[in-house]
Amino acid sequence: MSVSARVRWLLAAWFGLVVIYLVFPLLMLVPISFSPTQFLRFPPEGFSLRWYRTFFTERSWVEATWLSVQIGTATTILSLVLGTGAALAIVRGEFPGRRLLYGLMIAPLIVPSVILALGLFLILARAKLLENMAALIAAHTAIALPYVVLIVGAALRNVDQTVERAARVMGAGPLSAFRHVTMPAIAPALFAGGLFAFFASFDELVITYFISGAIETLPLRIWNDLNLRLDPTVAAVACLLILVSVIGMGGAEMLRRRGAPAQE
Amino acid sequence: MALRPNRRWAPVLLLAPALLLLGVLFLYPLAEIMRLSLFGRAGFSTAAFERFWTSPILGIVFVRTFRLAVEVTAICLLVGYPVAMFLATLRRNWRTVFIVLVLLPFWTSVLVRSYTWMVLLGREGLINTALQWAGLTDAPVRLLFTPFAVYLGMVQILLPIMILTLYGVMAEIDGGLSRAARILGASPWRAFWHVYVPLTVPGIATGCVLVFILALGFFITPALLGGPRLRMLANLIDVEVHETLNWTQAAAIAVVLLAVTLAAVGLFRLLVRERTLYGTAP
Repeated sequence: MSVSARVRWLLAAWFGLVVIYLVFPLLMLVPISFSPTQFLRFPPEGFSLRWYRTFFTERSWVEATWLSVQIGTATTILSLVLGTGAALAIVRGEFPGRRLLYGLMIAPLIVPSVILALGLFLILARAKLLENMAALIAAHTAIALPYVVLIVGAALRNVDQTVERAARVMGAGPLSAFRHVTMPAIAPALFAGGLFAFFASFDELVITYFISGAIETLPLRIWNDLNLRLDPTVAAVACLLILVSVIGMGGAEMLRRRGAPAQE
Repeated sequence: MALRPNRRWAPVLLLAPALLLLGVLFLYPLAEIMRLSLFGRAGFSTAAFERFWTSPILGIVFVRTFRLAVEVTAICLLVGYPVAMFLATLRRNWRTVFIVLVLLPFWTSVLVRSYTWMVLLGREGLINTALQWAGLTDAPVRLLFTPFAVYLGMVQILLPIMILTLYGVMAEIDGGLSRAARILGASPWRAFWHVYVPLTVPGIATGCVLVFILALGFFITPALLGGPRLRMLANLIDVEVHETLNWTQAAAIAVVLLAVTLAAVGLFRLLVRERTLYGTAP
């Protein structure tokens, strides 16, 4: 829309203020994480790496991080396989109820996670599967699946189907046609969906808190720490997490846009 | 596509694993919540729902949660609308740079972002240090565990979603329409209010519903920034499960929360037919 220069300056100034509000709390964490003192004070007095050292050496932090990476990786693989299959069937199949099925696949994004957490807690408690790694990974997959279905589904809609048909006419089997024609075409979307799925699991707290028992993932380790005391180790962990999510999610967003240029 | 020879069965085989997973770990848990909310240990009873009227706490928390979600949505809309407009007026190559500034916090987890506000608003935090340094107060002001902290944190966390949704709609608006209104003699304000804003209504509706349903179910931020005195319905579910051990009550609260969420989504689908909440339908 066309706006006068004065209005444009006002909008730019407002944008600047809002960006400060959005980004400043994250940036402020960086100097605090290098603080040498036990208390979170700003500005910090001096410089030290002691909280980073604690994170990389204290057993509970290292174990929680490794556990979250493992669960996240398993969730990524599972939701990519299940989600891509579902997206293929919904986008390419011709059968009634596709819209409804698509809605079901996306629904875990709409239902508040605390509700799903309670429901999972109830059924897993009855099945004596609380504090069970496989159940935790499966639950994470349920909430990571929508991202894969959304992103891969959008990419599939943009793939030219005549090339796939050509491959089939030339004698390629269905699996071979998918492997050599469809998959290369949706590769960016698969990477993007995988990254989104990984972070859906890696950052997940509420469901894990309800069903994981003594299995302590990284977000749960942070959560338990926050409810006891404010230790600057968390500041160091948070800084590292911000860095990792900005790189990972930034990459995923770039790939998603490349995979589905028509989608905003 | 590749499904040609066995057209009938291929989709079923491809869908089955995902459907099985969602059936067992999404639909069944929700059904179990509904069952338990009505059929507790003592058989059928609506007592857990009646407590929304009879218990003093539950009613207050319900109103508090609903109000918080509505107000956070309204603030996000008012704050975010001009931001999205600014992004839409930018030239294409600049847009990406500025959008990344909005996306940056969006990529970070809710837990980490809530934590940053705990650090900022604490007794020894930056805001209190600045206030004392400026001589505005002698002793630290209580900022953490106040409604102010909850609103500040929640708006910061949800604002990027509102901005990006509005921007998505604004970027596709034909600028010629507002210009035509101006040429035909409309004042800038009239052109904005009667031409531009109506064109952005789908974005407003989508953004508001998304932010509202997310705010309604917020658990981490109210717990960390509001504390036990400012519990929301989501936090009450946690208390009923882990402290009072009244699972039937927890289930009833979840059913009410789910009902309000679904009502918001239903209202959205009635009002905005041509869009879905998350991109295109098949």
